[in-house]
Amino acid sequence: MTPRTEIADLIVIGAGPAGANAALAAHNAGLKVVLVDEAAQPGGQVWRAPITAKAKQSPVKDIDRKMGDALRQQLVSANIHILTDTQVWSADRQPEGFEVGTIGEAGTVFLRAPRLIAAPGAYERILPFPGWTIPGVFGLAAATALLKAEKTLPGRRIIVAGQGPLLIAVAAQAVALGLRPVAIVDAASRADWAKSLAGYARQPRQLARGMRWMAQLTRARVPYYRQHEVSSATGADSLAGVTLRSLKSGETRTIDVDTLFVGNGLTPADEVFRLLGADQEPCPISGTQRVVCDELGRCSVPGLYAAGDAAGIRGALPALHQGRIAGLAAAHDAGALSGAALSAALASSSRALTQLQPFADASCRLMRLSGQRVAAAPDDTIICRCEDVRAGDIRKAINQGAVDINQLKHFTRLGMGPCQGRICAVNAAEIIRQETGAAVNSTRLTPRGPIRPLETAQLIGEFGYSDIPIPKPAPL
Amino acid sequence: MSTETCDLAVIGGGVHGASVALFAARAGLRVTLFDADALCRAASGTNAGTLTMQMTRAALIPYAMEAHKMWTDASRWLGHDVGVVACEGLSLAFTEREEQILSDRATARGAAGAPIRLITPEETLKIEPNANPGIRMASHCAIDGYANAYLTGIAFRRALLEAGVTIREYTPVIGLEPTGQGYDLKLRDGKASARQIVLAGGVWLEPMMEMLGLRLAIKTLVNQLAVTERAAPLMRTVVCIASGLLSLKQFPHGTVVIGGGWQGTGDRDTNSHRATTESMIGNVRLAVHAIPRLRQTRIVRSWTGFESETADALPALGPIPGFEGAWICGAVHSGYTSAPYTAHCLTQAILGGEPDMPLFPIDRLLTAPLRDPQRSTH
Amino acid sequence: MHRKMAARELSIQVDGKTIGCEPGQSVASALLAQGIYRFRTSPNDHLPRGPFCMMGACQECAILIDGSIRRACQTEVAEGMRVCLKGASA
Ligand SMILES: Cc1cc2nc3c(=O)[nH]c(=O)nc-3n(C[C@H](O)[C@H](O)[C@H](O)COP(=O)(O)OP(=O)(O)OC[C@H]3O[C@@H](n4cnc5c(N)ncnc54)[C@H](O)[C@@H]3O)c2cc1C
Ligand SMILES: Cc1cc2nc3c(=O)[nH]c(=O)nc-3n(C[C@H](O)[C@H](O)[C@H](O)COP(=O)(O)OP(=O)(O)OC[C@H]3O[C@@H](n4cnc5c(N)ncnc54)[C@H](O)[C@@H]3O)c2cc1C
Ligand code: FES
Repeated sequence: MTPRTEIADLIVIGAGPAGANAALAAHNAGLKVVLVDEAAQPGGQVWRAPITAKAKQSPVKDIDRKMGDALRQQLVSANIHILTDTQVWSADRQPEGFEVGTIGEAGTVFLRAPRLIAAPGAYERILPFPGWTIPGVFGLAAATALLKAEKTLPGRRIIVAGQGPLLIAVAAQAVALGLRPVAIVDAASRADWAKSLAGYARQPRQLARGMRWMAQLTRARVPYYRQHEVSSATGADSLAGVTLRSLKSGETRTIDVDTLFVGNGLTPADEVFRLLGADQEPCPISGTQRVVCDELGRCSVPGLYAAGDAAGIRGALPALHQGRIAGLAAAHDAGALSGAALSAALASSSRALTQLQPFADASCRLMRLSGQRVAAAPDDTIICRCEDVRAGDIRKAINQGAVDINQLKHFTRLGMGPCQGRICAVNAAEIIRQETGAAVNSTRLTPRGPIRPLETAQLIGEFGYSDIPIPKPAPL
Repeated sequence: MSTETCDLAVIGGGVHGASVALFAARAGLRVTLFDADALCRAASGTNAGTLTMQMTRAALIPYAMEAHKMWTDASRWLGHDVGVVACEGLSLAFTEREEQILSDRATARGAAGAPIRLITPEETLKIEPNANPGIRMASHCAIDGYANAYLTGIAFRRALLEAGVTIREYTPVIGLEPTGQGYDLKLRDGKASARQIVLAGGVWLEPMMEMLGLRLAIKTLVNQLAVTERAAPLMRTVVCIASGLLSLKQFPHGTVVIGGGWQGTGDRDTNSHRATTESMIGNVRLAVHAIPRLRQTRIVRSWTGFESETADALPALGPIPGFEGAWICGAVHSGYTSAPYTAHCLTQAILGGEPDMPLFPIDRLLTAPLRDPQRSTH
Repeated sequence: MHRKMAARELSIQVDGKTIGCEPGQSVASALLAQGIYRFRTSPNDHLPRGPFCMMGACQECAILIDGSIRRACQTEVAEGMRVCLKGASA
C-alpha cells in the first residue's frame, strides 16, 4: 500500500485565526484549498472550540468564543476542505511546489500543492526553575486550553504565575469557576502594565475585558505578587509547595499548593519554515529567530507564506488579518486574483493591522523574557525535560568545548527526546549565549522531521514485504 | 594568527582525521587538526554507529576485525567513552533470493576472516526472540556491536587535547600550496604551514584534492536514518538483512536507530541534505518487518549524512602521488567501523614505518590532473 | 457529587481501574479530574512526570493508550479505552 496523495492549489497548515482566514480568502478567490489542523475543530489557541457538554453549555460567551463560533460557521458555509485531527509531520520542496505529510485516523496522507501557507501558531515559553517538572506544574497555555475546551481546571489550591496578559485571563477565569487562586505571581511591575495600557487602549473591547478581569480578581481578594517569580517548586509524586521570590529584594516565601500554572510568553512554531529552508531573522521579542516575510506574508522560499503567531507573536486579531492577506496573496500569485483586485481586497486588512500593532506591541512587551533570567537557572534546574539535562550539565558541556547547540546536543542528549527541543531549545540557547556570547544562528538545532513524533504503526500502515521498495544490494 | 610550522596538519576532523591526529601526536609529532565545522559533526558524528562485519566489504574485513577490537577497548587507547556495546549480529533472509545472497556473502566474508555462520530460524529466534518468525534463514556473526556515534566528537576532543593536538574548529582550509619544505594552508583569515598534511575530508576529499590540482572522483551517498523514542527492551543484537539495506539496534538507553543505507537527498557543495519521506517509510517498514514489535514505538527524528565512496568502492588510504609528505585518508565503506585501524596503519606510514596491514594507494583512482588547480570541476 | 456522576457518560480503564469521564474530554483532563497528576516517570532520572503543556508539544503526557504510545492531552476519551500509566520506556 502506498500512502494516498491529495492535490490542491494551496495547502494551509493550522486552522487558527490566521490559517482559517487564509483558507477562506484563497477559497473565495477560487483556489482549491486544503486546510489541516491537529485539533478536533478549527479555532486555534485563542478561538479554540468548546468540546465537552459543560464547555458548550457555558452561559458566559466571551468574545473569543463568539469569534471562534463565527469562524467555524464561516468555514462550514464556505465548504472549506478541512482535515481535522490530522498532524502535519513533514514538509518538502518539490519541483512543482510542496509536499506535506500528514497523519490522522486515515493513516499517512500526502498533500501536494504549488503553494503553502503555514500558520501553526506558537509554543509557550516557560522559565525553568528547580521543580518545574513535578506533576501539578502546568503551562499557562495549558490552563487556557482546558478552560476553552472543557471549562475546567485541575487543582484545589492553585497559583497562577509568569508574565503577560494570559496571567490575568487565567486567574480571572479560575475565579469564575470557583477556584480562587492562592496567589498571582507576576514578573511585571505596575509601571510595566501602565506602559502597556496605552497600547491596550487602542482595543477598547479587549481593554474592557481586561479591566473586568482585574476587577474580578480584586473583588475575590486574590493576593497579587508583582515583580515576583517562582523560584522553585517541591513535591514528591506531585506538587506540594511553591517558593516565590521578589525580583526586587530577592526575598522568598513558600506557599503550599497542589497546582501551579506558569508561563512566560510565546515563541513562534517555526519547524515548517526551517525544514523548508526559509530565511530567518532575529526576533526582538522572543530573542530567538523568526521567519523573514514581506508584508504579504511571502517567505524567501517561493510559494511559501507565513501568517499569524508563527510569523512573530502579535495576537489573534492581527493573526486573522495576516491570514487573510496571505490567502489573498497566494490567490494573486496563483493567477486567481488581479493586481488591482488584490490591492482593493487588501486595503481593509492592512489598515486593521496598522491599527492593531500598538496592542500587539503592548502584549509582547509584557511577555518579553530576558536572557539573563533564563541563564540564571541554578545548576540543578532541569532544562531538557525529556532527557533530564540540567543547567549544570549544559555549563559543563560548554566548559568542555561545546560552542553551539548541536554540539551541546551531542554532548548531553539535550533535545534528543520525543519533544525534540520544542520546550528546551530556546532556554538552552540562552544559556549558551550568556556563557559564550555565541551568535543566535549557532544556537538553533538543525531542523529535521518529523514535526511531531510519529506512531510507527500509523506511519507505515498495513503492507506486505513485496511493497517495500528495497534498493539494490550494497557492494560486497 | 600564528604561522609557526607544525609537523602535521590534518584537514578534516571526522573519525579518520581525528584518529590520525591522535596517533601522530602520541608518537611525538606536533599536530594541528583543522575542521570546517566542529569535530565529528559530519558523517562521523551522525552515522548509525554499527560496528558490523555483515555490512563491511569483504576486502576490509581484516581491518574491520582489528578496528572492532579497538572500539571495544576504546577506554584504553581513546581514553573516553563512545558508548560501545559488543554483541552478536544477525542478518536475515525473508525470500529465496535473499537466502542465496546471504549464503554467498557469508561465505565471502567468512573467507576474509569474519566468524559468520548460517543459522536456522529456530536458532535465530532463540538469539533474538522478537525477530519476525517468518524468516527463512539468518547469518550469525559473533563479532558485532555498535557505538553511540554522537559521542565521537566529545571523546576525540578530550583525547586530542590530552595528546597536545591543536584543534582548530570552524576553520576550513581553502587552499594548499606545496613549498618544498612542506605545505602552506590557506585559511579564511590567514594561513598555516606544516611539514606534512593529511587530507581527511570525507565526501569533501574531492574538492580537497582539487586544491592540489588532482582529480579524484568521490561519489556522495546521502544515507538516511531514523530513531525511535526510548522504548522498553525489544532486541539485543544488531539486525541486518541479506541485501545489507537494514541496520537496526537498540541502545542501552532504549532508543532504536533504524538505518541501512536508504537514501535521502542532498548536495555536497552546499553541505545540505535531508531525509525523504519515501525512504523513511520504506526503511521503517523494513525494520518493522524484521522486528514486528517496533510497530508500537514512535519515530521522533530522521536525519541524513554524507558517506563517501571511490569509483571501486575501496578506500583512499595512502600517499598522494607526486606530493611529498601529503597523505589521504577516507572513503572507506562502513568507514566508522574500520576507521581507528585504517588510521593507525596510515599513521605508521606517515611516521616512516611499515603499516601493519597494506594501505589502499590512490594511484589506481587518479584521472588526468587538472590544468588549473583552483578550478572546480562542477 | 451525585449530579457530577450523572453527567458522566463514559468510562475508561486506567491500570485496570474504571474511571468515569465526559464525552469530548481528553484522556489527560479525565485523569487530572480524578486527581491523577503523575502519569509516568522520566526515562533518565526516573522522576515523576505528568501533563504539562496540554497543547501536544512537550510529550510529557505520552502514555500507553489502547496499546500505543499516545499524547493523553490530544487523545479524546472513548468508551472502554484502556490506559496504562507507563511511558514508552517502561
Ligand atoms: C494558549 C494560548 C492562549 C492565547 N490567548 C490569547 C488571547 O487570549 N488573546 C490573544 O490575542 N492572543 C492569545 N494568544 C496568542 C494566540 O496564539 C494568537 O493570538 C492567535 O491564536 C494566533 O493565531 P494563529 O492562527 O497564528 O495560531 P493558533 O491559533 O495557535 O493556531 C494554530 C493552529 O495550528 C495547528 N497546528 C500547529 N502545528 C500543527 C501541525 N504540525 N499539524 C497540524 N496542525 C498544527 C494548531 O492545532 C492550531 O489550531 C494565545 C496563545 C496561546 C498559545
Ligand atoms: C547516515 C550515515 C550512517 C552511517 N552508518 C555507518 C555505520 O553504521 N557503520 C559504519 O561503519 N559506517 C557508517 N557510515 C559511514 C561512516 O560514518 C563514515 O565512513 C565515516 O564517518 C567517515 O569519516 P571521515 O572522517 O572520513 O569523514 P567525515 O566524518 O565526513 O569528516 C570529514 C570532515 O572534513 C571536514 N572538512 C571538509 N572540508 C574541509 C575543509 N576544506 N577544511 C577543513 N575541514 C573540512 C568536514 O567538516 C568533516 O568534519 C555512515 C555514514 C552516514 C552518513
Ligand atoms: S501535555 Fe504536553 S504533549 Fe500533552
